[in-house]
Amino acid sequence: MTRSSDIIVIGAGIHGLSCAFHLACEKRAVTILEKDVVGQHASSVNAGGLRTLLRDIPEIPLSLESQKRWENLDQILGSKLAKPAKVTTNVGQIGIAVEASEMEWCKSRANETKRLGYDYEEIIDRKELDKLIDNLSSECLGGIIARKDGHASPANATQAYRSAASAAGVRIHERVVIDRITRKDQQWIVHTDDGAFEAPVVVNCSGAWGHKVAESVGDRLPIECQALSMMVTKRVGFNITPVVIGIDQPLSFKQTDIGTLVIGGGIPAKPEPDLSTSKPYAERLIESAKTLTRFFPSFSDVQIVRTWSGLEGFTPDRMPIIGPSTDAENFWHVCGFSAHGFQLAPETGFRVARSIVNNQVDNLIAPFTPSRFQIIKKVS
Amino acid sequence: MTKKTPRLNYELVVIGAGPAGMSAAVEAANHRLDVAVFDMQPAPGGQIYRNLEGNSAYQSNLTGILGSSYFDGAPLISEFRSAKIDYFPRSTVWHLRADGAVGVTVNEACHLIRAKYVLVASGAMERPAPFPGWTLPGVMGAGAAQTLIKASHAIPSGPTAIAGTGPLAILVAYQLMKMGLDLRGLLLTSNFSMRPGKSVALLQAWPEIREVFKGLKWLGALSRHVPIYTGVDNLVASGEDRIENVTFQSRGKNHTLSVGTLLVHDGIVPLFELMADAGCQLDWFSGETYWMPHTNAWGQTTCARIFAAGDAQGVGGAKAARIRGALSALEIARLANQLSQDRRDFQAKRLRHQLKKFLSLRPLMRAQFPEGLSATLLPPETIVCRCEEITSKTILDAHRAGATTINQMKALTRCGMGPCQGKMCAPTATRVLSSVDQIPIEEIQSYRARFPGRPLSLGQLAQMNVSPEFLQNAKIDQEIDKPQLTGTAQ
Ligand SMILES: Cc1cc2nc3c(=O)[nH]c(=O)nc-3n(C[C@H](O)[C@H](O)[C@H](O)COP(=O)(O)OP(=O)(O)OC[C@H]3O[C@@H](n4cnc5c(N)ncnc54)[C@H](O)[C@@H]3O)c2cc1C
Repeated sequence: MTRSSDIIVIGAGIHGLSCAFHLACEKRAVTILEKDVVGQHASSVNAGGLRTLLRDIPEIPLSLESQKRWENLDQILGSKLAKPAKVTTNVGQIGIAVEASEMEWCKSRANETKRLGYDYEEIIDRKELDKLIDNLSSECLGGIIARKDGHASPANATQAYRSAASAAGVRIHERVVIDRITRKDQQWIVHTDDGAFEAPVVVNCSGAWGHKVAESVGDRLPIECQALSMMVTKRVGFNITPVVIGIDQPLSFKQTDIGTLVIGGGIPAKPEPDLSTSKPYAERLIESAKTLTRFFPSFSDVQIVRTWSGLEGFTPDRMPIIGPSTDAENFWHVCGFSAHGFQLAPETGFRVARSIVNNQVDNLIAPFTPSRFQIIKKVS
Repeated sequence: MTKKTPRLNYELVVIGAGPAGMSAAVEAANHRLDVAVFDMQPAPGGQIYRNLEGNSAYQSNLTGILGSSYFDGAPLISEFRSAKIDYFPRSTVWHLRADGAVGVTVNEACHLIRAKYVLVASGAMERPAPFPGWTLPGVMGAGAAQTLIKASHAIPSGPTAIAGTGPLAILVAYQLMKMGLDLRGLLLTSNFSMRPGKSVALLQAWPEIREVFKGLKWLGALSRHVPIYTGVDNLVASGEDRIENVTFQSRGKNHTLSVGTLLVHDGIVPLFELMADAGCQLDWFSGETYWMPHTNAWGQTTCARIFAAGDAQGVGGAKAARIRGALSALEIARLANQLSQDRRDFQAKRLRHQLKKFLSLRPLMRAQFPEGLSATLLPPETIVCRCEEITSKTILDAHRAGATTINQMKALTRCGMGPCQGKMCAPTATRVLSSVDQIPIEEIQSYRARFPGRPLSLGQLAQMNVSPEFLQNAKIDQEIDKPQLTGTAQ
């Protein structure tokens, strides 16, 4: 028996769920197929950073719009669903410079965004830093801040989108393995170990596996699957509200509402995508611990209780791939978020849904068209 | 205290210096392997022979109380002491990897070293058995109480009750009674009925029937001084700041005892976290309701370099542990080209014969002491995860919201995210999740285990000592022959 709907979404990470939710709000019948369980990968295990700071220029408009959606998540999903997501904005994300060259770079970056008409990034000196954060080492010179930035709980935010999508009528099938995808009479037929599903439109939201799913319809996306590590400490008595990131140092860190320190910063882990997992390397996290204790010498005695890692798809220009396939008709790609896609999910889902319903690619997502990689495609 | 630091490479790293770890290390050293042993305690012996050297030197009435089977460990300990082994007491292993990487803390400093083979002989822990009031001060494990007796001759003071099941609960009650503790009751969840299945188990246990008599002797002695309740159920501890009362039902009747201490015991479960961290396959053993590593007859796991022996491989007791450690060492010596296959098999034959005898008691144990405190459904407000104070109800709510695996539930509730890394709540959380829609345990899975298995500080990690080989080596999983996995050792 073939089950049909208007749109099939592949992947139940926060992007798949956000697209599905907004499509369902447009009265479309949506089916999500997920090979593991909802939010098992990047979406539930990421650092939860809501960062507009230092976004690549083409991403800025989408990111700023998305930040507004995070701020209004209770209006979008309903306050009951949004509350556990612990959206915390207006605490700021700060890029801290420890070298003079980093400080120079921050200044030129702030000038550039100002020139482009954005005013959300601001240079701060050491005195201003001390007002915002205690315990900083004397090495920290100053930095760049986006004051409206913040963070959210990734697992609970993803869960909130799941509940909202289900309530809007989206059907979610977990633990479904896709065998192949065929096209017949304007319909995509997705053959799985749980039977066939068909729909005129498919959206590929399969994260670190984006290129694999694309391959099944003949698209070659330049996505590389990588894994990133995180660690978390015991609850500590400090009180740090902004999110801190390094400029050239591998660091991204914040304190949660319960007092633990959550530490990331792009430290590679060992990807095992075929086993649907990944593992942190102890030896690589040394670097991370060194950087953090360089910024905050008093953290030296703080105990690490857990580490983990997650799989993510990376593109060559480190910007996501969002848009319809150039060759496969009505087949959309929304993947390759290169470690900063959590923040983008609310707006991306909305814009993709709107583009599909209007049959016209929305301006805000246009820069991320898969076709920008034509050249790479020919070379490889 | 020695300020010895471990080298960055060993042929064999043994984790744990209980009977399994000690006998494996001795056997391997006899076959000229270069062995390091890491153990958290200050002296060799493991849980069962804890502080044996100390207690032997100290002649007291403790000798009679701890009994002859405790002092049976002495020869093995002295063999271990005199063998050529790099032994690190007070060290903690917090990471294990399939490629033989071992993360360990020795004298407060962290090291990441590499072993050609690793034997996990980390033993077992008491099965956590939450019930209303189990987190009140004054409620503790019976095993933990025994640790206090062995290590520091300390016993609980004031009126005490012991609740639960298994030989350890009875033994501890017996020992504490002999030490003069005011025991108000032994509350056993077992009901000791003799159904046909159990008689078969009793026959199977024949080779070890002396052990059964020992248990009956303890019970007999206890029954003359302490009220024994059987078929105990609905256990509740209550009190203001600490336990004051324990209430329960026994064979349909309600009872309340005023106590200052409640010792509980519900059997033991393997400590498998390091193997899970390494990626060794775990099997759900429904007979004893716990996860254990998938091993072959030599204790080799699905990660070819990693072996498990003793209770970490599947609970079997001290005597079996000692044999299993030696069996693993024989196979490791063969893999390291220090022993021919024929010699290995010749030496293993005698050991396997003994192992069979020692394990013959297990079916009777299982039949007579099924888990009790943890077999009943938890009231919704009972705390499951002490670190994060997560109740059974919170877990059920996450399940209702769609979480079917234990890791999904963890991400939503924080259950299992505290400093104990989920060791204390995993068995209960699994039970709660599977109780709803009868989800098979295999689908619920076990908590993903990632280093550090025990907390370490940011400063320690920042200054970790690592061999240069690690930092250069991008490809970390050096493949060796895949093990042949036929038949488990149980
Ligand atoms: C450690 C870490 C930290 C991060 N920190 C941040 C941060 O602070 N801020 C931020 O904005 N972003 C961050 N990110 C990035 C962010 O998590 C991701 O960009 C985002 O979650 C991507 O969402 P997704 O839905 O595309 O992917 P995923 O959540 O990975 O979802 C993809 C889903 O597709 C499924 N799938 C794949 N193939 C198939 C198939 N063939 N059939 C069916 N299903 C399939 C997968 O099982 C998966 O569930 C971080 C990422 C990591 C790994």
